[in-house]
Amino acid sequence: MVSARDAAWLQLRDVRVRFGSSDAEPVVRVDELPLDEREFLGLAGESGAGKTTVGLTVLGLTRRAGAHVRGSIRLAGEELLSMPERRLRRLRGSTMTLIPQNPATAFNPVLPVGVTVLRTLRLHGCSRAEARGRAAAGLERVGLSAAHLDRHPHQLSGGQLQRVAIALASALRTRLLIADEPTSALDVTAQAQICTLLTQLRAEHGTAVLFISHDLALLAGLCDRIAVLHRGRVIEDRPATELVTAPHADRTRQLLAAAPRLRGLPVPGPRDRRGEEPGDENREARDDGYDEEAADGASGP
Amino acid sequence: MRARGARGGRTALVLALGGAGAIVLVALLAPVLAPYPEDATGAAETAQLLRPPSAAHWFGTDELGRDVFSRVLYGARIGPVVAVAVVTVSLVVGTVIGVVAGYFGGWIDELLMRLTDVFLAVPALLLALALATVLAPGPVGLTVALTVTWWPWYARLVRGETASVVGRPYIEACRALGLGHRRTLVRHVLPNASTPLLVQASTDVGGVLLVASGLSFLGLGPQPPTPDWGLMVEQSQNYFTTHWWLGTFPGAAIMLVAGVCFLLGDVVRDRFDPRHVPRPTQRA
Repeated sequence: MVSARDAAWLQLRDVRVRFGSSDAEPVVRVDELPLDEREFLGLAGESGAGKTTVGLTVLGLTRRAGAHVRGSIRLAGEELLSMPERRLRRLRGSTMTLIPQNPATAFNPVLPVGVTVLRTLRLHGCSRAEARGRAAAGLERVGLSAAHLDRHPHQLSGGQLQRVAIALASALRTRLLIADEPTSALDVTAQAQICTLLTQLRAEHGTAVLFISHDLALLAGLCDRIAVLHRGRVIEDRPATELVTAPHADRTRQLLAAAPRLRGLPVPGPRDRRGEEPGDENREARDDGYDEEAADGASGP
Repeated sequence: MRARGARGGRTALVLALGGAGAIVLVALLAPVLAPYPEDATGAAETAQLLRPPSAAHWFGTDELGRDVFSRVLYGARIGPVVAVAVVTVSLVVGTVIGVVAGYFGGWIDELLMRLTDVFLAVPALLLALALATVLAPGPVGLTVALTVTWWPWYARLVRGETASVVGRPYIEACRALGLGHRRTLVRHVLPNASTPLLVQASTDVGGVLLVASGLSFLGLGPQPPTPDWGLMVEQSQNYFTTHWWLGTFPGAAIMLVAGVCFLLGDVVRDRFDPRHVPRPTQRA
C-alpha cells in the first residue's frame, strides 16, 4: 500500500482547520490522507492531536463550531468543503455518518431509540414499511430485536446503544463511518462485539471506516492502515501490522508503549482508562461529557 | 419541599390538581353556580345595600347591593385567565426567541439577547405600570402589559438551556445523520430544553395573578363594574372598617387561587425538575 493515491475514494488534501480567527495556528494540518472503499483506516494519536476534529471536518460539522477549514476533501470525486450545506446534509446519514464516542449521550434521552432510528430512515427517503423492515433487519444483524426500539436510551446499556447506532448505519447503507472512539465508553466484551460488527458491516456493504482511537493495540487488530496524528499532522501512515511492529516515528513508539498489552497480540485488549468492572457497561453512561480530545472539535474557541 | 416523602408528594398532588380543577370548574360554571348572576356586572339593588353575610347572601352584599359571593365566583373568569394568558403568551414568545438565539448563536444570539436585555433593564413592575396606564384599561391591556415584562425571563432561561443542549453529543449525532436545523431544533433541542421552562412557568402563574391583582387594585386593570378581585378589594377600601366582607372575600379568593397555583408549580417542580430525572445509570 502506498501513501500517495490520487484516486482514493475519500481523499483529504492540504486540510487546515483553525479555530478562532482564520490566521490562528491550525489545529489540523493534514497534507494527505486517503481512504478507499472497504478500507479500515485507524487514526491514532494522543489527546488533543486533532483526531476528532479530522473526523468532524470530513462530516462538515466543524464549521458550525466556528472552525475555519481550508484545503480539499473529496469523496468519490466530489469536493465536500465547497459543497452547499443542503447537499452535504443529504450526504450525512445516507453516505457518511458518525458512530459516537459515548453512545449513552448520543441518543436523544426523551425519545425511544426506535423513534430516532425510524425517523432517520424516513428522512433519507424510506417509506414507513421500508424503514421498519430495514430497522428490524439492522437490529437483527447486531444481535438485538425490534423490541429494543421501544426502549429509551437510559433503559439500554452502552454496548446495546452502540449496536443500535451500528444497526442504524447499516440500515441506512452508510458507506463511510467516522467511528470516533466508538468503544472507549464500553467494557471489554462490548468493545470486541462492536469491532466484530464493524468488520461484518464492511463485508456486507463494503463500508469504509475511519476509526479514531488512541489505542494502537485496538487499531492494529482491526485496521488495514493506521495514520498517527501528532499536533494535527500525520506523522506516520502505513499498513497496520507494519506500523505496530516497526514504528518509524518516536511518537508512534510512545503510543505503542502506552498500550502494554500489545506484544504482538492481534486481539483488541482491555483498555478502558477508567478501569471499571467488566459487565457494568452503564457505569460509563454517567460520564456524559465528551473527552478532552472530542472537546477540541466540538467546542471550538 | 424536596425532602417530602412519597405520601406528602401524593397529598400535594391531589390538593394541587383538585384545587386547579375546582378553579377551572368555578370559572366555567360561574353562571350556574352564582345565586345572582346578574349582580356580576351591574344591577344596583338599593334595597339591600351592604348587608352582612347571611343565608341569602353568603358573602354579604356590597355598596350597590350586589351579591359578593356571585361576584367572587365570576371573578374566577378574570384574574386567573389573565394570569394564564400572560404566562402562555410569554412562554411562546420567550421560547421562540430563546431557542433561536441559543441554537444559532453568533450575531443572531447577540441581537436577540440585547433586545431581551433592553426589556430586562427596566424594572418589571414599573414597565408594566407604565404600559397598563398607556394601554386601554381592561383585561386585555393588563395581559399585554404583563406579557411584555414577562417574556424576557423565559427567553433568557430558554436561551441558556438551549445553548447547553446544543453542545450535547446527541445534537451532533442529529447533524451527523443529516437532520436539518428545523428538525433538530423542534424535535431534539426543544424537548430537552423545555423542562426547566415548564417548571418555571407553572410556578409563575400564581405570581402573575398577584401582580395582575395588584395592578387591578391600582385601577390599571379591568374597570367597574367588572367583578375582578383586585378591583373589588380596591373598591372596598372605604368600607373596610365597617363592612369587612367587601374586601375580605375577594382577597381570600386571590390568596386561595395563588396558593393553589404555587402548590401546582411545586408539584410540577418535584416531578419534572431535571435533577429528578433518572440518571442513565438507573436502569428501569
